[in-house]
Amino acid sequence: MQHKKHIPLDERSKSPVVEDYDVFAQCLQAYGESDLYADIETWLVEDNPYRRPLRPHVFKYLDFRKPLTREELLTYTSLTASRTLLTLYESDFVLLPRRDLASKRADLEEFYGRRAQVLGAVVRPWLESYLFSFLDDTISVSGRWTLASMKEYFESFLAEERRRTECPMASTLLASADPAHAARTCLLQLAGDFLLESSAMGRNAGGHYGPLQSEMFKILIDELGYGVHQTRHSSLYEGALESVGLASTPHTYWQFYLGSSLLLNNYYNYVCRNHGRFFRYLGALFQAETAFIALCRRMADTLRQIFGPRVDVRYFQEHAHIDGHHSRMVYDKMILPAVEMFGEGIIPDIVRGFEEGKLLTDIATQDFIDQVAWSDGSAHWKSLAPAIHRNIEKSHDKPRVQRFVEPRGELSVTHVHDGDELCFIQSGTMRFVTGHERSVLLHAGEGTVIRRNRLHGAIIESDECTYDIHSIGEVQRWLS
Amino acid sequence: MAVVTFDPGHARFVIAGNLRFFLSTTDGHVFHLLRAACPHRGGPLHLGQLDADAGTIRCPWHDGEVSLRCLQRDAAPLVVRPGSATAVVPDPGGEPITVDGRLVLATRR
Repeated sequence: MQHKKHIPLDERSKSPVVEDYDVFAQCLQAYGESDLYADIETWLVEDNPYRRPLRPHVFKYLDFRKPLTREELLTYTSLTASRTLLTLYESDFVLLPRRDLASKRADLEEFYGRRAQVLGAVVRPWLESYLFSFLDDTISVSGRWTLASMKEYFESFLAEERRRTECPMASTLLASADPAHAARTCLLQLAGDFLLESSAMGRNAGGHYGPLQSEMFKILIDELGYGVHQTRHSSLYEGALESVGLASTPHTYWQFYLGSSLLLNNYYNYVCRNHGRFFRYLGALFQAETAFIALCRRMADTLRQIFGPRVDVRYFQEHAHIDGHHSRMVYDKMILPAVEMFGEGIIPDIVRGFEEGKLLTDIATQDFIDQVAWSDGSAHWKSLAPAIHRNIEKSHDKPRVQRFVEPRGELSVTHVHDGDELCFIQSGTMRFVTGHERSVLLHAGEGTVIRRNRLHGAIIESDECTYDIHSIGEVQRWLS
Repeated sequence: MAVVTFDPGHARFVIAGNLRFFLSTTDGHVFHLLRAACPHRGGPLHLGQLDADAGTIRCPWHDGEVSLRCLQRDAAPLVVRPGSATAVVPDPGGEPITVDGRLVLATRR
């Protein structure tokens, strides 16, 4: 009898299961052929969780061969990967519209259909590897970790959290030129995750893993409101959204999710879907439950400061309270017993998950801050356009330019560029969109600077509009 | 035990009481905080010669080849992320923990 040669784990390929890139690329393009993911002519997708613009016509031009680096996380290819991966992950969850299922029944069948499942099975591991391999290169966890050193490490973190007084998110909202808009933008970023509250965590509800499983379940039932729908955390979040005039159905604001918000949401699915990453998830969960306590307290105060007493902050108050318990429960009832039960060899995984969650949260926070700053500066970026355009005209070294002629109502689904761009209107009128219900009108002879990695879209408001996109690379170069 | 946080771009040497550690990497991604004292006679391994292919550091005192795998097994628990590193080192018993930017040769540069 012949036995297969055993290959030590660290000598095996770390590539996704399907090693042939062309197979992946074909499957991705085939996945994108569905109407569910095609461009649409509205900014919002109301009460249809299956329809998500992915700009699939661009798939064939994108290269996912080489995993992202830390510096490439906010590029267009990354945004596409994140939008697609979340769509794939969420096909594991039950999503139903509130109303009129009959007219959406075909969408439901397609979203969960065999074709999507088969293609998704090939595409998902590639996109996971593409998006998250950078974590291995960015965070190094090494050395001889013991229970004592892990305790010391986390105690130090807890002490730091207790000392923390600053909250960059809250400060950004209050300092914005339009705090109410910035706050709504923040709420809709979080909606992608919070309206499906704990769905990623719920992936760990099944199985057989002893007392840890029961402890995980206690946290889960808190999140789910003990079966009382009004107290579900997602119900509380719906209340927060509605109180400030936002829709509360999942992914209504799909087009306005920043790539980093999607990346963070994807991460929790990434570590929860594959149970080989369970110990990493424990670390990430501990980080999230702990950091959320102070954040939610500040968010409740800040939202009240901005919107007054009409804003519903129950979601944030609930988390400011219950996450104190959850932080303790994850640490005392899950992490410490897990180390006791499975040995100190799992500690590097726990620490890694903790650090990864922290890093991705920091990246998402900074991306949000940068987006608010860019959107707040719309008038400034518009004012620079004529001079930059003149400098381009005079230059012997002209940047690459693409001309577009589009009819009234043509909507460019939101996207980002990997370098600075100048959008310049030759004729007609364009509404240039920098966020939900935030835009600047551009007429012939006007334009705006689209900063690298900033999310934007556009809609044509004249019978026809001719405009140029100049790939200027770095805006400063064209200002002198 | 004590936790120390430092900028790995500038500081690569940690002193906790009578223990000394240095930051070392063979690939630029995974970093280890290794004991600086050679297990032979206590020579300064941070000034030794790294051979990443062989997985050794040659001690500058007696030219002994010290296995990286052994050093890494006993390395201080360490996390390195962009711009900062955090290590857990033995409590120096009231003495300060110092971190400095002295020359470290036994690492990929």
